[in-house]
Amino acid sequence: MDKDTIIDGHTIKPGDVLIGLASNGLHSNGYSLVRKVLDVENRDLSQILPGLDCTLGEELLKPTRLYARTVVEIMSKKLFDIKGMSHITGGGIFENLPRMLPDGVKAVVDTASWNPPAIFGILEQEGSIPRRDMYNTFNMGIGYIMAVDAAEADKAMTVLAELGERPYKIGVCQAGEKGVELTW
Amino acid sequence: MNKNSFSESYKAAGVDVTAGYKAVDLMKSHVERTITTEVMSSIGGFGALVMPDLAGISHPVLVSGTDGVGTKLRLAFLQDKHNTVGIDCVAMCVNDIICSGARPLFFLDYLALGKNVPERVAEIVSGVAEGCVPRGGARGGGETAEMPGF
Repeated sequence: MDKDTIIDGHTIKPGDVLIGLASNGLHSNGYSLVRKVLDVENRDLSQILPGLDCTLGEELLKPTRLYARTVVEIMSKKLFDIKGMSHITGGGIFENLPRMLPDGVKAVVDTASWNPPAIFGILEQEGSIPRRDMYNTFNMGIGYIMAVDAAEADKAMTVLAELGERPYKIGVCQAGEKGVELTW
Repeated sequence: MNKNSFSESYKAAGVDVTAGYKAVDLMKSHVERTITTEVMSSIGGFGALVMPDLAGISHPVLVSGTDGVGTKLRLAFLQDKHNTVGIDCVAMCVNDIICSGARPLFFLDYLALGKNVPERVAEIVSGVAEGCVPRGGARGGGETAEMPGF
């Protein structure tokens, strides 16, 4: 890539909008907790649990989504200006969203702005996992987050949907200590 | 690939080099799907040679990353289904590097196996190729290590 086009979040400022791109399930994180909670070694993985559209075994092996085609398309054709990007990997939104933020900016995320896939509810219930831990371990249905200027947000939403993503406006940036605040 | 290479002694110790060659043969067609015009080398070389197209890039920066699939692998073992974890591995790496705005160029895999079952290795690499094809870059190379009793 070109040094001049590196995206490191340094232009992110209060008021910027956070757009989350849907994941298709667990992707590849939190599996030690998954295996413990669901006792996968002794469980019938061919069962179809309420809310799942496939067997439990298939759900737990769904391949992680790649966001490369979308991101490369946006950047190479300059479809809109991305100020920061975050892959929601191990540690969930709590750990990964701050990695793109500059000092003095916090992310406020409204968890009601999207519906996590059913597998997350199943894990939360079967393992009596506190909600805070869920968002600090799993992607909870958002696999990738982009920060854009508020004036670009609607255009970005349209472009992302046209590229085949399921985008959600999940929050905003505010002045404050670098970190993530979740509202329920 | 040297078809005459074999070692009964090494095989008796748990490392079957002929299984290794068979695995490489079986993965060929999958890997070929991913090869881009930027890849110079083919299977069998010591290193992966890539000549990036730098047209229009005034200050080239290479972004690299490495990741694994973690204990999701256990779900693949339990269901004896190995063609998806490669996609996961590519996705975990690619989703990281694109955060900087980089585009995927090439991917190297490393497989550590207790026992080399060529068909299974090919299945794993088919997943890697599947992950590479939709803009994940080329599967530039890899290493398959048979590590019995480890």
